[in-house]
Amino acid sequence: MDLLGFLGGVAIGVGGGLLAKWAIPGGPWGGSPDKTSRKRFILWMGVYVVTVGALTFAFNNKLIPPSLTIQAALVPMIPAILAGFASLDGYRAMDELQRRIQSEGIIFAFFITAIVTFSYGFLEAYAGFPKQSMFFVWPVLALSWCLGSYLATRRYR
Amino acid sequence: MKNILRQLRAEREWSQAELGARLDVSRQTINALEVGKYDPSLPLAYKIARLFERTIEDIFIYEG
Repeated sequence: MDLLGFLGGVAIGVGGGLLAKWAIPGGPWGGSPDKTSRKRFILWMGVYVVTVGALTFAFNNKLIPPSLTIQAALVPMIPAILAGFASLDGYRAMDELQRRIQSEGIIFAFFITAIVTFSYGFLEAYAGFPKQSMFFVWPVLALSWCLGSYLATRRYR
Repeated sequence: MKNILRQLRAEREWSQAELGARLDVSRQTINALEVGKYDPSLPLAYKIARLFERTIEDIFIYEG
């Protein structure tokens, strides 16, 4: 994990959030009255960013004992899982139309991500394309979710 | 499905946001209902009918 990877991860998260804010009125929660889950999400994503930064520093300076490499590498997933639960609570607090818009956006993202990742997988396997990191799957999903939610929002305007 | 939600809201001089707050839904949902882009669930239709003291059939006109 290097500095470029860390900055890239933070940029994808912040960029995706800003895009969602632009695409969906009221942001990812669509103006939901549930402010608590939004605060929890922001808090855990903040902890995630700090954890990735600390981990990058620790690995670059060889502060992690080899026996703990796997456990340490997975530490950022703890705040990420908690952020996931917060966003699930945010979804449950939405009204019925907002839930429908999000569902349509997520189905769209599921479909686009499957097409993109499988297309590239076949190109890797049979056409000699270079191997890509698994980190690329999430940005594809996040960006297509933003686009799908935007398109679904337009349908109900 | 057509509805007279905009008319009922206008009679009470409520904004879309005000009506949304009374029904516990977003302003976007009220707008989608008023322009006929979204048909409400049965529980939401009941809440709307009770708020305006009408029957569901008075407010929503099924055109199937």
